[in-house]
Amino acid sequence: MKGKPLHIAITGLNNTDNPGPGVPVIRGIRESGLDVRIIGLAYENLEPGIYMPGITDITYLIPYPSAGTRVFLNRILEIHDREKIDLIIPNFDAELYTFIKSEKLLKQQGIRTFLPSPEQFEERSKALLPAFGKKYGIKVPASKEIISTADLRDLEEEFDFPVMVKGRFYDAYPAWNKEQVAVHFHKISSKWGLPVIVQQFVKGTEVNVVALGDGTGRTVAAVSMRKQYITDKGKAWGGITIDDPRMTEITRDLIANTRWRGGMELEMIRTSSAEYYMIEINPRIPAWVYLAVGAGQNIPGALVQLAMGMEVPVMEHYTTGKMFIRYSWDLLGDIGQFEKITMTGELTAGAGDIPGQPPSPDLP
Amino acid sequence: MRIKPSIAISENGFMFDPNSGESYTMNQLAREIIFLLKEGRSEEEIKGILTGKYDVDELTLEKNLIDFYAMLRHYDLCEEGGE
Repeated sequence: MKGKPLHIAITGLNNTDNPGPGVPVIRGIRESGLDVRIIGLAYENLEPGIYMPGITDITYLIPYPSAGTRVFLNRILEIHDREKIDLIIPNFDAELYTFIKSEKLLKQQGIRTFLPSPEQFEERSKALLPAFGKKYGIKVPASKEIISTADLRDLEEEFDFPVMVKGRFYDAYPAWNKEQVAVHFHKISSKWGLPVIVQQFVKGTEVNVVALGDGTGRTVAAVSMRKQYITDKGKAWGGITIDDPRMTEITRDLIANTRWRGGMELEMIRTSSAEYYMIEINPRIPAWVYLAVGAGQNIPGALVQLAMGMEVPVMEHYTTGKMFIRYSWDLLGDIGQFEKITMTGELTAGAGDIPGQPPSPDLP
Repeated sequence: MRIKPSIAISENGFMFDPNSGESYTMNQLAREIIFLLKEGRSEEEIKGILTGKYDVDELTLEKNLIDFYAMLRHYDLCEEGGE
């Protein structure tokens, strides 16, 4: 007898040139063989995942967490009343803290999450990364928090240029002198707030790991990737799975020592002398996770199973030399779909055509 | 010197290093040398095979082979020993 499908709510449907992980996470879950109903949660009415066929079953607009936790959670619970959500998988750095802090409240309502603890989330933040590296014996480039331009005064003594200037959640720009740091500081702080982080630039190859920890210290899955093609936003537009035992070892040690719970992405630089510097730890599944699925480790599917209390064996192997290449594709929609998501805040897959209306004219 | 066992080499001269994610394309002669190394031939044997097959003086060949082996070492594609 077939049971009720799992109702899973997922954010990050912005499959743009700076993609959120929602769409690849959904692809992984759908390919895991689990019986699911996917409820998309979108912040903007033009997030491509809302309109992509075969991705969500229904999508709801939600307010940004910056609108306030109460407003945000009220909308989630309103959607829960209609959809009976079993699990939420948030995919944006900026919303994670709200979900982590609300874990208990959501659980009381019957909504599960599978996220790191507030302490785990906080200690790996960009601003605290040097202390994190020291605590867990990981090489981390020197960095400094910048709160105001006054903090830039001694920068030339503290760092060798170039340096990377990073936002607390997103954005990273290289700077070759103090003046460039100041320009990036203003640009990033106006978008993502303070602090802005200045990090020593490390020359080498950028390599990443997507991993899943079960919260007991066990690494359930880990796949290493080398970026082959990087966009002007620093995002991977192409990548290939690699077999680097040292990267796997660093990942397993880190998950064992922190008892990490949930998905994570480790961003490292491998120098020509085979040293590894951790430049970022993202506390969520990255947008390139579908590569891991294709290489044999269905991390989104495993995360759902762990969240639902199912037994998940450790995935030891994956195919190396598996590649991904992103592409842009013009998806055609109808004004009726746009109207529906804009006016009612929701859109069911395949809905939105206005009965009795002629087909939309082709736009020039 | 021998080619690392993990390096994948296709018949048409495409080489992939699964450790670094780097890939390389080889011309016909590079491919020939790589396959001889894969067979376990020594550097001396390879020199002998190539001078017998191609119209090249020993000094020029040796100079070019030294360059080629240095490149393999630089890209971390080989390990010493195994002769």
